[in-house]
Amino acid sequence: MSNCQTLSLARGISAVAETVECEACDAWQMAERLAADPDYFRRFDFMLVLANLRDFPGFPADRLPAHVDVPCFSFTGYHPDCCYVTADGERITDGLIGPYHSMIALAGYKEQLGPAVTARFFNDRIYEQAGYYRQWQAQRDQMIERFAKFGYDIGGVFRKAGRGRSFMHTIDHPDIVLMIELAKVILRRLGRPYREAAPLPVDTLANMSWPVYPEVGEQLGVAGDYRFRPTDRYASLGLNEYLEEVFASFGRWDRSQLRVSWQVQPRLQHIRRLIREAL
Amino acid sequence: MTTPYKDLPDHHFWRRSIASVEAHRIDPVVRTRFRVAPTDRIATAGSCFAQHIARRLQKIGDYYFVVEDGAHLAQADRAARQYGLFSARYGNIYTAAQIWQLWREAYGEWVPEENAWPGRDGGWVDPFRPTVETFEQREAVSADRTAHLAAVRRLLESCDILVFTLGLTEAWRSLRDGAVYPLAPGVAGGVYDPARYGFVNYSATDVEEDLDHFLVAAKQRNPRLRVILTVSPVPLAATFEDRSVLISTTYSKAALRVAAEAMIRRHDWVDYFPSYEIITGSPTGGLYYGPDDREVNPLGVAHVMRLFQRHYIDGDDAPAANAAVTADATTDDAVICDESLIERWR
Repeated sequence: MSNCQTLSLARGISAVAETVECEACDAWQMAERLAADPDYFRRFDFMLVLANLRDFPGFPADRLPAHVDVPCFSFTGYHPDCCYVTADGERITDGLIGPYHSMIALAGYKEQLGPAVTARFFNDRIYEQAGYYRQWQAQRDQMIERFAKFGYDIGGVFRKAGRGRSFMHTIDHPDIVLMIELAKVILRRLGRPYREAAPLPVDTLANMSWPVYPEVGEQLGVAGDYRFRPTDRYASLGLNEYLEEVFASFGRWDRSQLRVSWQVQPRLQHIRRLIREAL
Repeated sequence: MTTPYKDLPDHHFWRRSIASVEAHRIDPVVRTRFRVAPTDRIATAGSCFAQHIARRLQKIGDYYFVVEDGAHLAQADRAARQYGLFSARYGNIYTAAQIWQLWREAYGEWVPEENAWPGRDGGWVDPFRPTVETFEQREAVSADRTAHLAAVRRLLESCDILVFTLGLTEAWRSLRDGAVYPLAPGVAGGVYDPARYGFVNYSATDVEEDLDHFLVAAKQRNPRLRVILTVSPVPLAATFEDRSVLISTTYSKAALRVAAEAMIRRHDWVDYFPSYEIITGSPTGGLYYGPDDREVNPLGVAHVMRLFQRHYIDGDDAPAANAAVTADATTDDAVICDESLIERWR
């Protein structure tokens, strides 16, 4: 039972496990299933529970079979410019690429620049000074620490899933290759046998993707580009097309209403300062 | 039980320093013998891979030293005539024999019998750098070479650091005076005549001797000189040995690597930078090559030059991370997607 990653994880476990079958239930399905059967989860021998779900309304703490907690895998290392944006405190989820937005685009918009001028700030100097090149290592260490607190050793996952490629579609949507490796880590910790190699399941989180910018990719051994793939579209947009559309959509709100979460506020302010200095 | 390996640092061990590190973070540089000072002037020479180093050096700062920059020409002409491709307009110097020969010629210790070849499409070329320029008049080849050799002397006497990339052991040479050419006669000029030109595949000892002659001579003229040797990770495009080009590549690179090792053991002002290992090593196996499995791709060049900058230039003086941007190493964590979004993925 988890978030949007649950289906990928369940498929990953089913793909590689030798003795386990796994079903997925996301946070929203949880309420429906419990409404239909309060003992729904006791049908299972064992559960993996997203740790953060314990604070979710209606979490059935007293109606679970044997279970262990699993933390959420999120990772901005390949997409340090990607962030969530809120308008009047509500996350904007109907953006071009779902809930994901470019911080440099937002900074440009808040500085009252147009898309064409803002596009100039997608460059090595801004990335360097905004700390984009340091995110991968910091995030890797953070994820290893996060999972270690729950008893999972994911140190080898990065090496395997990230060899010459990005293992994230967006900042919190890992691809199926990463989820397969996480599945192995979990099965190993639970003492369940698994196969090293298995056919890849359908990647459920692949319906939108954020690009690895070439300058960022160069630091990470990954070929990058500026092709933004909007939700459920196969044709991707170049940077200028993306910015045109995003600026048009931002126009629904007053500039002051558009915010990012407190964790990434310092970076947004820093980028705005860099842009002002460069103008 | 104690062993001689017991207390050695991580870099001595494959599992600790290679097998547990992500490909883009592989860093085989343990220490460098010197650092690049802000005032240092760096010259480059060598095979094709040295061109990548030269281009990246220009991005890093003002270290790159060019004595033949073609400032008198329009930008497009400079590139076409290989100005700025290397520090001087010597073209690719693939072999140690070539650079030792260039030195001797520059200082009047040797004069080639042949100083111009007919170009493939007319005109005349310099046999020792046939791709640099095609001249209309034969005499112009000599005149330009005289100017070039003066530039080479100026370069070697003024640079603080020379980055020399060893590329090949195979070469073609004149059977009359032993002149060594970068390309076989007929490839980019000249006419192949087996009675006049012969193939040579240098041994590691041959490379070592030529390299040592050059380094010692250059150091005598320019006591400030320090040298960074690298081995090109670019495989041979072709071999004249009657065997697979893959086998010849392995031999050639091994011989060059042995010669480079001999130089760093002999001279404490010579360093070895492992661009070859970064690109060709099994930890990055194949990731850094283009579709032809020969050309090094920009990611590979970026990895090499990232480490070059870190170890020779930034060192311990690398700027500290900006507090404003490291504070958010924590993810903007979307633990629970909105239901409307999650519906898509079920």
